[in-house]
Amino acid sequence: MRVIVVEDDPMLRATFVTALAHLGVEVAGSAETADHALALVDEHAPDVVTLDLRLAKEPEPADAGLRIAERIRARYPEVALLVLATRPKVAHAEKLMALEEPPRAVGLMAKDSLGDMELITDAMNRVVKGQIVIDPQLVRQLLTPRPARAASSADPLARLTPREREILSLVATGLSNLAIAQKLSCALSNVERNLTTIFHKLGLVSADEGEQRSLNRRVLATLIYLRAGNQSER
Amino acid sequence: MRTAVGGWRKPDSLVAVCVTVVALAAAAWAIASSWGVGPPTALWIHVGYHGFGVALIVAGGVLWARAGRARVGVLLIALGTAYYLQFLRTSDDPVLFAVGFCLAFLYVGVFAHLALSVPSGRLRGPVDRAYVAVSYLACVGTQVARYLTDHPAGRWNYNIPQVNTGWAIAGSLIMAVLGVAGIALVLRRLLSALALRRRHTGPVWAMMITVGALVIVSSVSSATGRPLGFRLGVEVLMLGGAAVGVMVAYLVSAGLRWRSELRVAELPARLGGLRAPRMDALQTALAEAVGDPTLRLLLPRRDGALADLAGGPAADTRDHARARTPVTRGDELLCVIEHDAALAEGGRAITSAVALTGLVMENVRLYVQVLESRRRLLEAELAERRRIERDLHDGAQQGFFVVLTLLGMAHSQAAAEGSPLTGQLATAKGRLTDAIKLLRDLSQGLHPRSLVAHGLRETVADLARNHPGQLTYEVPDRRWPPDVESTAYFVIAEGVTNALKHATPGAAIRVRVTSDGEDLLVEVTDDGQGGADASGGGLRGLTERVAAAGGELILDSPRGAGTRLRARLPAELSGDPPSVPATAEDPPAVPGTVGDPPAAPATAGDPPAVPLAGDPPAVPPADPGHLAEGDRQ
Repeated sequence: MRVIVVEDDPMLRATFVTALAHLGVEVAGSAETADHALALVDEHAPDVVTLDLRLAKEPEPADAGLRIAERIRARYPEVALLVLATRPKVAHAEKLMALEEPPRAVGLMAKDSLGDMELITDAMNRVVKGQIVIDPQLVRQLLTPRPARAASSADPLARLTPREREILSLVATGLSNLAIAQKLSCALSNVERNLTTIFHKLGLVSADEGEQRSLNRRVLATLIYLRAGNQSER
Repeated sequence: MRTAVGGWRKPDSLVAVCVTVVALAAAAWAIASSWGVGPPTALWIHVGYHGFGVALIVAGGVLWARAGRARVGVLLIALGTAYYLQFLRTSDDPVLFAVGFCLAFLYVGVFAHLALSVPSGRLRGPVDRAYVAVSYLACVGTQVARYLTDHPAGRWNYNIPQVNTGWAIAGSLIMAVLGVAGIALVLRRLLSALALRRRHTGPVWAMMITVGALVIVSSVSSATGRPLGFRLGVEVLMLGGAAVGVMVAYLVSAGLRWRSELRVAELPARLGGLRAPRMDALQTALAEAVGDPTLRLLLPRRDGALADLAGGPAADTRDHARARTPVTRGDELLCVIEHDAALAEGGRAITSAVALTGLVMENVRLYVQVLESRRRLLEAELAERRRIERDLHDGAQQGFFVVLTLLGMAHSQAAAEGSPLTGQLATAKGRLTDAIKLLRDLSQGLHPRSLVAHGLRETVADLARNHPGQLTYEVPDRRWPPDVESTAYFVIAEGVTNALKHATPGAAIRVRVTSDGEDLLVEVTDDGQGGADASGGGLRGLTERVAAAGGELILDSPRGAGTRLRARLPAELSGDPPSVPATAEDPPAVPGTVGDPPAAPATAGDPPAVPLAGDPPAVPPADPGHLAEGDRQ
C-alpha cells in the first residue's frame, strides 16, 4: 500500500510518516500544501492519501483538507482518501461522501486514533478497498439515544430498536456483517436479519440483492443515520 | 440673512448707567430751566409734559443695562433726551432758542425710528429706512423752514399759544401724514409677520399704533387751531400714554419671552429620556420650545457646506427675516440653527436652545463613540479568541498528537515484546488522550471552530450532541456575520451551561434562534427552579458582550418557574453601528468628526441595554465547569 501524507505540522508529519513506515506502509511522499500534494499524487500514483483537515498554510485553512480531497478525487478517482481531523464533524463526513455519487473510498478519522496506528492503517486498508470509514467516536456520539430526539417524529432513527441502532452504528463505522457479528458475539444470520429490518424501516428496500447494491444500501443507511444525527429536531 | 453670535454679549451696564445718568441730568436741567415758563397751567399738564422724557430715559436705561437690549435702550434714551430739546425754546439765548425751535419735534422722528425698529432696534429693509429718514427730515425740516420764514421770537413753551402760521400748519399736516404712513407700515408688518413675532412683540406694536394715532390727532388739532387746552390734553395723553404704554408693552413681551425661555428650559427633560435622540426629534422639540415652527437644524456636510436634515442643500438666502446661529464645541461646528430673525431679538431663549442643542449633539456624538468603541472591543476580543484557539490547535494540540503517536508506537512495540512497560504506556496514552480532549473542549469554548466553518446551527447541534441532558434546539440553517454568530453562540452556551448547573436535574433545556427582520433573537429556556440573578459574573459579562454587539440581554427567571434567557442582536453587526443615521441620504459628517463615517445617529428602536458599569468585560466560557459562581442565588 502506497501512501501520501498531507499534514502541515512538520513534527507531526515526520512522526506520522515514521509510524506508518514502522508498520510497513510505503510512504511515497508528504506535503503540506494543496499544490505539492497534487504534484505528489500525480508523480507517485498512491493507493491512498491521508489529509489533515486543517492546513494552516492554505488560504482557507479550516477545511483545506476537504478541498484537496475534492481536487484529488476529481483528477485521480482511483486514489482513496482518508481525512484526519482534530475534531471530526458530521458536516465533514457528509462533504466527503458527497464527493461522488454513490460515495466510495473515503474516510474520516479523529486524530485521537494516532495513538493506535493500527486503527489508522486499518482505515486506510478499508478505504483502499472502496469502503467508507467514519470515526467510531463520531458515530457513537451520533447514536446516543436521547429522549428529545426519540420524541421527534421527523427522526428516521426513532423507529429503530436500540439493538438495530447499535448494529446500524457499526455499519456506519464501516464494519462488515461478519465483523459486526463477531463484535456483538452473535450469529451472522442474526446480523443480516437485523439489517434487513433496518433497511426496511429506513425505506431502503431493494429487489436487487447484488453485492454492489448491498454496499450502496449500507452507505445509504449510514447517510440517513448521519443526517438524522445532524438534523436533530427542527 | 445675518448670522447671530452664539451668545449675546454681556450688556455693558456701566456705559448704560453713565449714558442714562447724563441723559437724566440733561432732562433735569431742561425741566428746571423751563418749569413755570408761560401762563399758569394745571400741574398734571406740567408733570405729563416734563415727565415723559424722564420715563423713557429710565426705561431705556433699564432695557440696556439689565436686559441687554442696547439698541432699543439707546433709542428710548435718545427719544427721551431729544424730547427735552423743545424746552430750549424757553431760553433767552437766541442760539439756544434757534436750536430748540428747529429740533423741537426731532423726538417724533426718533419715535418713528423706534416704532419701526421694534423689537430689535434695527430697521429692516429700505422702505423702513426711507420712512425714518423722511420722518427725521420732516420733523426737523418743517421747523427749520418755519424758523427761517416765520422768524419766531420770545419764549416758546407748550403752554404758550402761538400764531398758527402757514408753515406751522404745513408741519402739523406733514406729521399727520407721516403718522398715517407709519401706522400703515407697522400694521402691514404686524399682519404679515410670523405668529412668533406677533406674539412676542405684538403688545409693543399695538402701543406704537395707538401712540401714532394720538400723534395724528395732536397734529391735526394743532393744524386746525383747536383751543390750547384741548391740544394740551391730547398731547399729554399722547405723551403719558406713549411712556407708560411702551414700558407696559415691553414688560408684557418680556413676560412672553420669559415663558418661552421656560419652555426651552424644559427641553432637557423632554430630550433626556433619549440617549441619542433623532436629529429630527431634536429639531421638532427645539422648534416647539422656542416657538418658531420654521426653525430647522443644518448639519455641516463633509465638503463644509450646510445641509438640512433631509440632506438637501441649505444655501444662505440673505433673507433678513431669517437668522443662523451656529452651535459649536470648541472649534468644531456641530450644527447651525436656522430660525426666524425675531428669535435672536428675543433674548435668552435662543441662547439656551443653542446651549442645549450643543449638549444634546455632544451627547449623541459620545454615544456613537461609545457604541463604536464597544463594538471594536468586541471584535478585538473575538479575534483574539480565534487567534488563541488557532494557536492552541496548530501548536499545542499537534504537539500532543506527535507524543500520542510516539506513545502509541512504543506501546505496540512494548506489547509485542511483552515488556512490563506496556501497562504504563497504555495509561500514558489514555491520560494524553484525555488531556487532548480537555484542550479541545477548552479551545472549543474559546471560539468554536465549527462556528466559522459551519455556522450557528451546526455548532448548536454539536453542543446538543455533547450535552449530557435533554437539549432541544431550533436554529435556522443560515449564516449571519461572524460576530453576530459568535455573540449568539456565547449566549446559548452560557444559557445552557447555567441551566445545566442550576436547573433541577433532568430539566428540559430549549434553545431557540429566530430571525426577526433585522434582528436575531436568541432564547434559552429551561423548566428548572428559576431564580437566576443577572448580576452574577457570567451573566453580567454576557450582558456586556451583547450590549457591545448592539443588542440587549433579558433574563426572566421567576423563582420556581424556570428560566428564560433572551437576547436580541442586530443581525448586521459589522459595518455601521446599530443606530441609523439621522439623515436618509447624503449624511452630513458627524459633528466634530468631519470626514469620519456615519452621521450623527439616532436609534431607530430600543437603545442597547445599559451596560453594568464598572464590570470588566468578562469572558463567558462556553464549556461547563468554567462558569463564574454566583449566577443564581
